[in-house]
Amino acid sequence: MRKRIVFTLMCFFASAQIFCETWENEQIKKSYSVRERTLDRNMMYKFFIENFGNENEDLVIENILNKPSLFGGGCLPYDVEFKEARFSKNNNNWQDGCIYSVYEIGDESFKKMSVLRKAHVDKVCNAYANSPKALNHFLKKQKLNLMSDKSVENIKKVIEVFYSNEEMKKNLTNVTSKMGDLTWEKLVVYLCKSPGWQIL
Amino acid sequence: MNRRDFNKLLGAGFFYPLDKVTGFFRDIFEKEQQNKRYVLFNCIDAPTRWMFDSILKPNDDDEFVPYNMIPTNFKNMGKKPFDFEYEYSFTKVGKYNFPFMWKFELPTPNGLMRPMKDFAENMLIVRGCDMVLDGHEVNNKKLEAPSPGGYSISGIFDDHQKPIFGCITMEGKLEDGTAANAYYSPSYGKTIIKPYVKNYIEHLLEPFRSENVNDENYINFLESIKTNKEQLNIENKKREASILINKNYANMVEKYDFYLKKYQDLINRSIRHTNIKGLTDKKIKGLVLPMTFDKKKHENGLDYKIEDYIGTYKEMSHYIVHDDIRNMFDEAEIIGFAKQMSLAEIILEFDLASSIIVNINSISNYMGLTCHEENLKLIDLGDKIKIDIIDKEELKTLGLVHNADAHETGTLPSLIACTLYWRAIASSIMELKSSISKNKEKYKNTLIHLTTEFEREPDNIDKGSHHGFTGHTSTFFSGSIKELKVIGNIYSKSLDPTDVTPGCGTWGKGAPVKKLDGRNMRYGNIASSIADFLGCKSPMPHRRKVFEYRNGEIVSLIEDAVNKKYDSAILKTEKPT
Repeated sequence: MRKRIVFTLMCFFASAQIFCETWENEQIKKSYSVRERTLDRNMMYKFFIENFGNENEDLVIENILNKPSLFGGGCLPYDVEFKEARFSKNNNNWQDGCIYSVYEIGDESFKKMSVLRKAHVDKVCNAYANSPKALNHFLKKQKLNLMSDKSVENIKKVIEVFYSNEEMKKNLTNVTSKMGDLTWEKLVVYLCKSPGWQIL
Repeated sequence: MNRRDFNKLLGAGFFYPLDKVTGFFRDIFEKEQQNKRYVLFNCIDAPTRWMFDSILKPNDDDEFVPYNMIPTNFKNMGKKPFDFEYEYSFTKVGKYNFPFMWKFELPTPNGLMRPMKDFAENMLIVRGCDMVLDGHEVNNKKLEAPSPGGYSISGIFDDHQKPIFGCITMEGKLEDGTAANAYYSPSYGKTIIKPYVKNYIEHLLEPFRSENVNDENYINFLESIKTNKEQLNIENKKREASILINKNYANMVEKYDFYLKKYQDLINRSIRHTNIKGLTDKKIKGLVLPMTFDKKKHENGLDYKIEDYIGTYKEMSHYIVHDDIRNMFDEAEIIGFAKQMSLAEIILEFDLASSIIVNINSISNYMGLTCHEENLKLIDLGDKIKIDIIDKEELKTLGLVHNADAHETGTLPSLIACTLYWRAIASSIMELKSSISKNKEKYKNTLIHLTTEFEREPDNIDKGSHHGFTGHTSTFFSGSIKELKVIGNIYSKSLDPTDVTPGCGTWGKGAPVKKLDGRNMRYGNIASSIADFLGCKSPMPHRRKVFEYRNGEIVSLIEDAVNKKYDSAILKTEKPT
């Protein structure tokens, strides 16, 4: 009987050990996984303008380029127009310039994803999805239009604008092609709002 | 593997560190600590606080060594420059001796006043903490992240918290190298409000407006594409925020505007047109030049310079020649502070964030006639010297910023500016406390931390004060603090040869604490205590707590504050070169 009790206790501690090890490893993994690098304000700005055109540019400037505290991407120490409190499109290198103060030179390059950052990106994404002109620009770049067939191949073209990871592309194609009520607007806004493409 | 080996392996399980097993359960427990809130008011640049909450003689039988450049008020204010004396006076608050300014009243809303002693309700002062290393940046960051490079107090605390924004930092004019900047969480990014943001509430709420949060398919989509937990959590919090904000937007904006006016009024009444007995009740005459002085020399034989004679009237590179220095504060302000306080009240009221870090700017725009140091000349008259203005046309009326890091600011502007500054802060925090305490449970679960990097050590000549980094004071307010308490020991007189002015009076240099095995208190001790209240892991777990949260109450774990005699064996740690 005593042996059984000892054996049961041993089993309990052994399983506790394995359980705790797993839990601890999870904690460690968690602390590493969050040290992700995200697209900075300049990269985000360029992504939107390149893919959606100049429609809503002011919105992108207001919500993304003007928010180094949320998106990171301090200004460059060279050729920066310090005299301007706020940048002007007439300045040279205005995209790289310090927006609010020269202290941005030392600002962090990468910022973690945050609730407020997500809200700003979503706002821009919603605006693009609701703008036929911007949406047409986006689809035209992929040699598509609003009437194009939602075939797997066409869907893939849109996904590739946001994601380059093969596994992710495959997964996304799988999920989106099975959506019964899929429209180009919906696909673009879902992809645009998904945080994965902003993580480097 | 035979049975014996298997049993050996299992037997090894007995030796598995118990803290790892308890750690698992502690982690679960932490997730339940959802109601605590933490607010850090960080007064940047280490302003002088010996007239406010550096309790330099807590008990009647404590030794207090007065020093001319550590004053709380003026004595015998005459009508001419230098025709006054500085004095350190006390008043009783509870059983303790508090500085002079606590005798008087503080502005409260609707034009009323309230005794400053009321501000000491639910207050715990922890003094005499040795910050070990010199420097603003390292010590200011330490207030939030006591272990350099490691997770910060709010960062660890936010890890399991419900509120949508986690930590909100209001950075003030100084962003880099401050507590607000030092936030570091295992999971979330902080929400930063930069000083240039015009409307704090709109900056925070506007992006969430008119968002369609009814699209459940989008969440399903994110889950099906294997979006990681942190990102899903952010999405969920964003949806919660959209619902809460769209429902309460008008109410929040209206309240923010109301609070803004309320706090701006409190700040203005604390600073401007004051009539504080022994401080601003009589005309304070600025310098009248030329002035003649007996010639003086330093101990090393060098002649006194201009600043050595008239440094008490100095604010950085300007000397105050204004007719009545009191009037200079008629338009003075603490830029952004009303906005910071208003947003802090909204955040706590609507439970938008689990922690708030506020960097408070110095007092600025105190305006008067000044003379630049380069516009002064020293004329040798044998046994005497004369200081005169070179070009009277060059005298300028300037809006000065009080340099809280008063290396080159004399006792006179420091005494007035800092007393008014602390009045504004005390008045605003008293109002915040009063608002939160309407909900007793919330007040019990909130910890307000008011602090600076370190104390200040006076110079041997009245022309500035320097970093007293071997002393630090943290003042806490919470509904869980049942009675006023002062803990932590200081030296009544330090003879440490590495002090700025060894042998000067009592200024707050940390002394050993019996309950810490006779060691000096370090900031890690304070950090562990804060973490204990918040119910999260300490960023410096090897540092013992000096107070803890027990049965719904914050209780001290060390002896009551006393002033100690200096032990010559103890030297402060030198900054590595």
